[in-house]
Amino acid sequence: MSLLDAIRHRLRPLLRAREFDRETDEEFRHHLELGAQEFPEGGPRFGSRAYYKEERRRMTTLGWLDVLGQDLRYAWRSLRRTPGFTTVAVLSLAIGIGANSAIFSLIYSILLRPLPVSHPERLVLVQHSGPDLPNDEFSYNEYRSLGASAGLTSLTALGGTGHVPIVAGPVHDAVGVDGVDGNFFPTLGLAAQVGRLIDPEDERTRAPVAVISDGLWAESFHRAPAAVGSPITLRGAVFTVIGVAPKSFQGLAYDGGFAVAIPLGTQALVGGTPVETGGADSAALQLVGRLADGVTLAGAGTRLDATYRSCCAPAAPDAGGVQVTGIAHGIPSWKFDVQALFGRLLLELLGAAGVVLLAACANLGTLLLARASARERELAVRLSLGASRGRLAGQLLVESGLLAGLGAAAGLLLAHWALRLIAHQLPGPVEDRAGLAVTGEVLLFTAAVALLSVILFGAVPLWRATRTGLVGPLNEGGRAATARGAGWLDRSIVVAQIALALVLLNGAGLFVATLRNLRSVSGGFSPERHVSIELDSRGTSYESGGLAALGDRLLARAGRIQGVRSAALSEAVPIFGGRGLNPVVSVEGYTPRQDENMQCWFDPVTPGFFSTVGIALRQGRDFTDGDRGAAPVAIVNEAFVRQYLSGRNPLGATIRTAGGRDTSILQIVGVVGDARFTDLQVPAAPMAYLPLAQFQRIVSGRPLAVVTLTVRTAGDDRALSAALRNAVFDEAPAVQAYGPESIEASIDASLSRQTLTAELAALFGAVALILAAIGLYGVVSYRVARRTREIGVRMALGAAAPAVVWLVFRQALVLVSLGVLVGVPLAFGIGRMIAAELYGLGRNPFFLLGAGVLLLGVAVVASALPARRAARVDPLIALRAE
Amino acid sequence: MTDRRPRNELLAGTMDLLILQTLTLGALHGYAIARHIERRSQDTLRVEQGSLYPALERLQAKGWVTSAWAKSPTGRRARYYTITASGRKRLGQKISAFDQLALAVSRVLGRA
Repeated sequence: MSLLDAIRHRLRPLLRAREFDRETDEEFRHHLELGAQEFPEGGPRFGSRAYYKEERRRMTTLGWLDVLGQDLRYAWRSLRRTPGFTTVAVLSLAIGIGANSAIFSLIYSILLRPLPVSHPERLVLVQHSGPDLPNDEFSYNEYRSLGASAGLTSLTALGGTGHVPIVAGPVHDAVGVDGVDGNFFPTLGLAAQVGRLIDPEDERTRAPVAVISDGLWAESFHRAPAAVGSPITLRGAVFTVIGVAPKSFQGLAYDGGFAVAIPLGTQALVGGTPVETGGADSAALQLVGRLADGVTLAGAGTRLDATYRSCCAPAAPDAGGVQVTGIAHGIPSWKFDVQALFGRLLLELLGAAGVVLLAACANLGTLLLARASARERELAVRLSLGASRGRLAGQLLVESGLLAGLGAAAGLLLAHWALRLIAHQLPGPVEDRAGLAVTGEVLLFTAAVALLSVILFGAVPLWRATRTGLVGPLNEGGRAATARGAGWLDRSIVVAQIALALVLLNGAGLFVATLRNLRSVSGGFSPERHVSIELDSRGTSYESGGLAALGDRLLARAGRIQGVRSAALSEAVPIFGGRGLNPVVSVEGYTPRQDENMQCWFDPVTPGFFSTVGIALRQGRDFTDGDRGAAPVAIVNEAFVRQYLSGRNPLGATIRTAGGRDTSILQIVGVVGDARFTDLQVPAAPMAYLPLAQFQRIVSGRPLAVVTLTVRTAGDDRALSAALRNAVFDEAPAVQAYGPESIEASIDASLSRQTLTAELAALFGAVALILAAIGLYGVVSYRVARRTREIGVRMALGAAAPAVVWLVFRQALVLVSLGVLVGVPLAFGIGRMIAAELYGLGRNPFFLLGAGVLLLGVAVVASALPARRAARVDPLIALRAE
Repeated sequence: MTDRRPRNELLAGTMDLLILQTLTLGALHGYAIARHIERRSQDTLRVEQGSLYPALERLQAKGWVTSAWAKSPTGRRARYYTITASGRKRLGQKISAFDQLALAVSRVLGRA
């Protein structure tokens, strides 16, 4: 009982601090009043109330916790006394920590974040192994046979349908629909946020039911629970919504895009492949399994491979088996390999962010150094009054910790803001992922960075505090000699920062100029006013017959859409994409060098393609409808002429190809300008175009399975895109369509990495500049404070204010010049390292010069305030302080 | 600043003893405790607030004394301190320890 009382008593000041203080005051007042009544003449009855409170606290609370709270209050007071210092310090740290948090957020969301399913690390995707490219499509029969394999607790299948027209509430759109087997959601361990998910019973009965994504739920039903039971229409077939997937679930694909899931057996209703027709026609399932306990990835792969070879693989000895791959982060997209595209860049950026953090900590170190020397007397006084060194050190550490905490909080805000700036530059799917930015992991990372920075910069004042002598500072009127040893340290830190800023600014200039050059580069086609949509007939009834007839219908229909100036089909469109073909050719009159690769890239196109895409016709004629059944013809680009036909008239020359059913001889009827197809940075290679109508007959031997429809628009791309998509849905419901996408969007997407690089480089350049300015300011003003007496003497001896100002500026300029001297070779080195990422710049010293001038400007600005302070030194006061 | 001032353990212990003994009279507020000790010692001992209240805190923290707010005869609110059962037990031990100490000191001084 009394023990309990005792504990409660000890905790009281912590839990109810205000009441505690009030009562203490009241009791004290009471005591004094009674004393005053009894002894009106007064007596020596004073006690120290502060001491008493202190004592009560110490006695009643959990020692260190209370001491910590007190130190925090003390640190807060002392930081508030110097708002300038505090602002600059917190800002420095916020920038350093914010940069790290922002980059880490990106890295986490793009590279590290696991799928939001239970135990994502146990999920695997089954792939064919063999000489071909990684292929993860299986037939329904194969799926059933593999399901019996050991090593997995479950195996489930996921089909896809490409884009399907959907009507759901007010939404008329096209979305990807996933056909999923009944055990799909159970395998992932997901539960519906409303209603229920598809289960094996739905699959057995082939019920026309649908699970929708959180996004679709919001868009179509405004998150009303009544969505469950509502009908939605997918390619004309009516499905009943039975539930909404968890908000975090964006599909198994790395780049998300989950919208609607329906039972696998019903996907034929919306244009997907019927699953049970057997044979190669039904080959369109992705198989996802969950590893059994204690089974490794390799172990499961071996067992599945054995099962597959016994059930499904062709007998040929070199025929492939299967393997499994972990998909903890999602199924990688074949079109968009984020790991390769951004992985290295992001890690480099984290390195840069680390350097920025070091610079920020160095800054804080110099600032604290200046502060510590200003506080030398205070510390000495406290030491002489009996404070223990350990206690002082603890307090300084708490102060550093408080700074770091404030810096981290401000840094998170900065990171949040920076991410919003950056995210919209990322390609769509990545933007979606990065959108969910500041997570618990990011907070944890930020806390760790803050702690690290305390250790880095907090060491400086600690080191000083433990070396503060008692006699020196008190005796020498505050101008202790102790700082002399640290002089070289803070100056070299600033020089290093200037050098770093120079390097980063130069890099930023180079990357931004590269982006500008790339944007203004003429790809050899018109960069606006055309829209493309890719049609993929693989796996449909069109595949064997080819798209020729459909293509004609689509062209006719597209031509009738309001606002369409011209329309054309092709296999590939500049920057938008497409495949084309790559046969070996020989050109009349050209003798190849030894071992010369004579493959030439061909793009089959319809008449009007060049004017639609904006590729200039230089010589000869365009293809015409008359070419359809006539002799084989080709149009080549200027690079082709330069390479193979230089000095000759290209018109009438012939190209032989070894592709197709037999050797063909194509006569060149025209020459067009060079267009860059894959990459704006890479000059066009020699290439040729041939009439789409001659495609199968002449070069390829295969039917045309994938074709891109491009239209040239007169005005509003968006309205036209919708009309174009509807036309495609109407004419070819089974064909998978990608797009429509405007050429501008394609260019933006193709430059996403360069854009991100340029923006981040600019951001880091600005950050480095600010940090260098702060560091410079810290050192210069510290020096001025140190030299107050000397300046006073100089002024007393007749030095004019301008001379004193020059004294200060000279110091800053010397530091900046040293930094630039160190930075220039570094910047050249780094410039060479990143040369591959640059475009159209050559050896350009302009940015280096610009950065140098900028830094000199910064030197002037950063030393203006200390210089003013120096000019106002009153010799009398400065000398009297002795 | 919470520098730990060196404390005279003998004095501190003695203060505890005097307070506990005083509280055997009944519940008292701080001023009454101080005045009682001063009067009984015929003003030889002066009790400063700075040592009285910390001592009361210490005693409460050890569970030997409890306190409660109540109306004083003058109508003001005051904190009244009461000795607990374990406090009384402690008082007995402290008195005998003090007796031993006093005897020992007297012996050294040649008075006993």
